[in-house]
Amino acid sequence: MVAEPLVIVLAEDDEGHASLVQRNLKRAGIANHIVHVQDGRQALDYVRRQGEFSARPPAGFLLLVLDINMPRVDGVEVLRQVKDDEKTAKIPVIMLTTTDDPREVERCYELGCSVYITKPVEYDAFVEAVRRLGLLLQVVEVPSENR
Amino acid sequence: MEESGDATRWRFVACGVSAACIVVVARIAAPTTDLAFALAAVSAVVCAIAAWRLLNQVHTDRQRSVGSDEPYQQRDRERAESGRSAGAEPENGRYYELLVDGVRDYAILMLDNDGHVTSWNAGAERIKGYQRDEIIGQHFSCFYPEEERRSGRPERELEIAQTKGRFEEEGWRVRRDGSRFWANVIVSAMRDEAGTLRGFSKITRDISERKSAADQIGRLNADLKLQVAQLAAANRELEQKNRENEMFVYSVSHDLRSPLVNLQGFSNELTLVCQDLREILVENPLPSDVQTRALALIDDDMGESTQFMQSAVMRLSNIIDALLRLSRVGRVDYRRQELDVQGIVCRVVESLATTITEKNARVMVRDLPPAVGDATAIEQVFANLLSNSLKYLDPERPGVIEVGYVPEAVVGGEPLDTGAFYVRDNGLGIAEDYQSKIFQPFQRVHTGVAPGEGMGLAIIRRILERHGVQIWVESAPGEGAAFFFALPTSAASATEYRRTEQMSATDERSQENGCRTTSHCVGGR
Repeated sequence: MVAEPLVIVLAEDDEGHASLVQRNLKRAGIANHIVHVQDGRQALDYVRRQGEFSARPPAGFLLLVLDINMPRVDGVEVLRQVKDDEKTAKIPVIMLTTTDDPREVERCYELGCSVYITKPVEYDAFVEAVRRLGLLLQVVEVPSENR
Repeated sequence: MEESGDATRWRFVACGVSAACIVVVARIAAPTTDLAFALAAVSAVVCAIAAWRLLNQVHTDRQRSVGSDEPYQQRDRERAESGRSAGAEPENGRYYELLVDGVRDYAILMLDNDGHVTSWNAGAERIKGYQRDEIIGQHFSCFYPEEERRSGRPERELEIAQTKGRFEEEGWRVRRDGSRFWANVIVSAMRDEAGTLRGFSKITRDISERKSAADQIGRLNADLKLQVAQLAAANRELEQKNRENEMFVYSVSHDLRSPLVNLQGFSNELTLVCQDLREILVENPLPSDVQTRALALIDDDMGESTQFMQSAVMRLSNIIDALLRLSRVGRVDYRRQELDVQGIVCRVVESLATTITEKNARVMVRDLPPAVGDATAIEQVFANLLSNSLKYLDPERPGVIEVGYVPEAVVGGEPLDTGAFYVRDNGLGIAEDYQSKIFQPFQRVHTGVAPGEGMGLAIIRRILERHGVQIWVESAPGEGAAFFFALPTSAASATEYRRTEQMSATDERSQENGCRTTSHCVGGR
């Protein structure tokens, strides 16, 4: 769907949730490569190409889908660090979580998340968000990892 | 000793005369013997010396009385003279004595300079228990408890009275029978015109009853303070427990959501898989009995199973959401602010416009005074109450819902010292037995009428509880229900409200268009 490949990085410690997200994206015809990592630490390592991901080749555009409650580093912290670093600040982030506490939602938007979606997921809305953000990446001048 | 020359001369003369007389008498009595004459002469000398000394003594006494006693003699003379001229003073003194003597509520007594009792009245006898005869001359320290007597307190009090003129105190005193009483005591020093101490007056009053009443009040006050403190502590503890419970409920409900997401998601997946399977079965050639059996399994068994699963999951999800909402009420921080209640209610009514029209109901918003509270929370209260009213309208009659304010609220016959906002409807109403239960979580009166978890009123109560505000219901089944809550209005706004209320009493139109800016507020029909 995009000229440069868009990789969806899904940080989710619940295997079931991760499976449901992947099934629904596929069913909606989004065939992009989905990288599933278990927690925030791994998500940051993937984005920064460090740690276990230090050897991975450049992947094109990244889209982060983050759960909030995860061991080691939680989703909000990943969001903060990604948005703090100007090299990664423009990566779109979708928060996908069971927490619908208005303060938590507000905090995530303040930190710069693109979309906040509450579980149980309205997959139509989620798929729509993924599509929109993917298109946005094409339109807006976002540096690809390949350039 | 000073002595005038005249007086001395006179003394010499007197002595000489007496000595001569004795010699003459002796000569007459014993004219013949020299021995007798000698004896007479010696006697004369002795007599002369004695006379000298006697006269001398008389003179000294006179001198002394002239030096110190003169003012008293003078005063006595003046008194005697004025008494003779007026004829009243001695009688007054007597009356005064009678007066003091007859006073029964006060012990009035006099002490000499050293503290010995010199006078005693009826009150003293009654209060202290000593008869006049047995106490006169006793030291007044016998009225004090042993330990104070030993510490020298009585003497100290006299000293203070002597130096300052007066001493007053409240303290324990002892009666003749050894019993104690709490006394108010005034000791005054009595001095003559020259300033010389002439003793003390002492007035004692038995104020044991007053003291015990005061002690009682003090004890009651202390008890009350203690109880208030205990209540406050208990309240804090409860509040703390409540918060902990809410945190617990919050984290449990939150944790329940995660597996629920899987249940919901995968039951959905199963449904989708069944659809795919069905297509495969239909599209591919299979023995017809196999196909029929397989389709029956998919449609009936699996279909029914996933359907039950999904509705159970949905129900569970609603309960968890309701619990989360309830627990969140206790966790959010409220801002105390001036609230435009009229505006808030109008916004709520506008947001419910579709439902109001659907239900063919009419919502009247009266004039509402501004109040003090958290805007979001109070909006939620009005929204929940209004949607409850809309939910439980009686289908038999057109629904009428009224939002208003009573300046003098009454709860269960007891007048509250504040006003209260209310939401009143003519709906199904709530039976009396249920009225106390409806504010508890998961309590539903009209199941089957409308969907819900029975959490709305529990949330409202918790919100208002956090505002320190009570909510109550007045209702009769079949007639409707009115929910009241005494959210405080700001002082200025209450005055303003009374003014507008008086105006609207004379202007009926203002009652129907509480929301003047919009026509949505009067919905339906």
